Amino acid sequence: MAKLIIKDLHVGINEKEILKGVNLEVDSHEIHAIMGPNGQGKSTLLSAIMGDPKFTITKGSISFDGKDVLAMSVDERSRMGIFLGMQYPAEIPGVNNSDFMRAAMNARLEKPISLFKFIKEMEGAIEDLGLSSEMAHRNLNEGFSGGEKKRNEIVQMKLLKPNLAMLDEIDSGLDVDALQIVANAVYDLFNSQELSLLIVSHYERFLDLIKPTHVHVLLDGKIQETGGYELIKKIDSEGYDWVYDKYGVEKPAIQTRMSLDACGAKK
Amino acid sequence: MEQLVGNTNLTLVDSQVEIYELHDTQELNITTTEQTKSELVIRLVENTNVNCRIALAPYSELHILFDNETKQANINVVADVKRGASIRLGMYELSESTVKEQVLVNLLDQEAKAKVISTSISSTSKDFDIECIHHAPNTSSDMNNFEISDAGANYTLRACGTIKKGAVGSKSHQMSRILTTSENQISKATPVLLIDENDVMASHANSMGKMDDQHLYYLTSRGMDEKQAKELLTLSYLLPISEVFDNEDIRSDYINKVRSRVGL
Repeated sequence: MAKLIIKDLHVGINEKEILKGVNLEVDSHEIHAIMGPNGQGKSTLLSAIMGDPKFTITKGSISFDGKDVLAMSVDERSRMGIFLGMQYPAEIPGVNNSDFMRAAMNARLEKPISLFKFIKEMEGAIEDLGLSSEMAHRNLNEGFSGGEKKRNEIVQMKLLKPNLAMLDEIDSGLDVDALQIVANAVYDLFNSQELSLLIVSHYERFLDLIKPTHVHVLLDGKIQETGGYELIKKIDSEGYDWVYDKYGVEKPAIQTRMSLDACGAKK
Repeated sequence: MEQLVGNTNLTLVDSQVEIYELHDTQELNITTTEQTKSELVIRLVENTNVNCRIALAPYSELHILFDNETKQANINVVADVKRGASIRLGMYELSESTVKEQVLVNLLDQEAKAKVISTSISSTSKDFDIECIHHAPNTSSDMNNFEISDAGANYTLRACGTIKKGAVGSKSHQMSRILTTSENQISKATPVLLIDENDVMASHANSMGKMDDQHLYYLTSRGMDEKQAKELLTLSYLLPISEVFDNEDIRSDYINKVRSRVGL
């Protein structure tokens, strides 16, 4: 049974430390939600697990299914079953969505998938996510709306069948109906195979539909608070002030906006 | 496939789909007839200098690709497009030749249209000069240029959209993408718009640089190794050439050609 174990993880970007010692264990078939104010390192954590070259790991370890994740290249991590549904998926001009997906699926198969089987699976996944069939022939994420990009991430997740799926604010940019469709697709996949979920979201509505088994609050680069579903309700009604107070973390100052009369357009 | 030997005049008939091999032809004149549609591949096998003059009759449509396989070539194409006619013109240049290619499209009458696509991989000196001139109202042109500059490349592109006085309602668009795979190459692109009329639409876009790290990260995060990801990104620069054709056989022939060129 694949288990994710993160120990004392420190991650930085451009010499700025963002994660300052994250410890986390995600067992098989658990759903973990990571919450927290903006800019505290939630996306950085998921990106570091996937291997985004923008970030530098300065200390700590990540293992999945007993293997050292940090020693693996990004593609090796993917092929061992780690998937990241990205907050801002790259727009890649000229790369056709279906060519890309077929290459991604073939990368984890000994024998290439037959064209017939691939088309059937891709069309099925696209339909399940309520997208138009022409999505398969468009360039990867190019000109997609925010909601289409997020749904296309879930299409990929369905086709690649990961064991650990990380979803980074996959609910932002989705309307209420699309949110339901995405949540159903994620939840169906969770129930149909061995899958753990690590979800970053700000919204109670999405988490209500996904029903996390564990909830964590990431603040100042560390997981400060861990609990169950009740934590989501508390954050939804009270915000994060109490977490700042409880762990003695200084709340970032709210930057005041420059007013127009300060722009030098007087006289 | 038909071989052309010596200077040649071709008059195209409706629905003609043909692949010609040019051997020692230096002058090639192609003429369409009114309200016909035809598709041609002109494969240069041993020529070094080719002058091609194309005359599109009113309301005719021509899709034509120049595919250079020679060691050194100087290709000069001039196309005159009459009322309501349209040309799709492709320059396919994946050889290791030193080449100079000049394309001039004259949109002579109302509703004349042109789409020019150039695709090249360079490790030698390659020089492209592509121009569409709008002489009449409501004409449109679209130039798309794709280049992969490998080590040793000395690539030059000048793409120019010219809208003459009186060509109101015309549209001139161009987009060039240049991928550099080595520090040991020189690539220059000059997008030009010369506009002498109001009430027109014109745009140019140009990108040049190495493969985007975030693109590679996105593709590898789905399981492709770096080599496969780079091949897929490379393919995106070459596949547009297949859009010159409607004919499925020729189109898939070129899709397969570029796929095998990048190892897919």
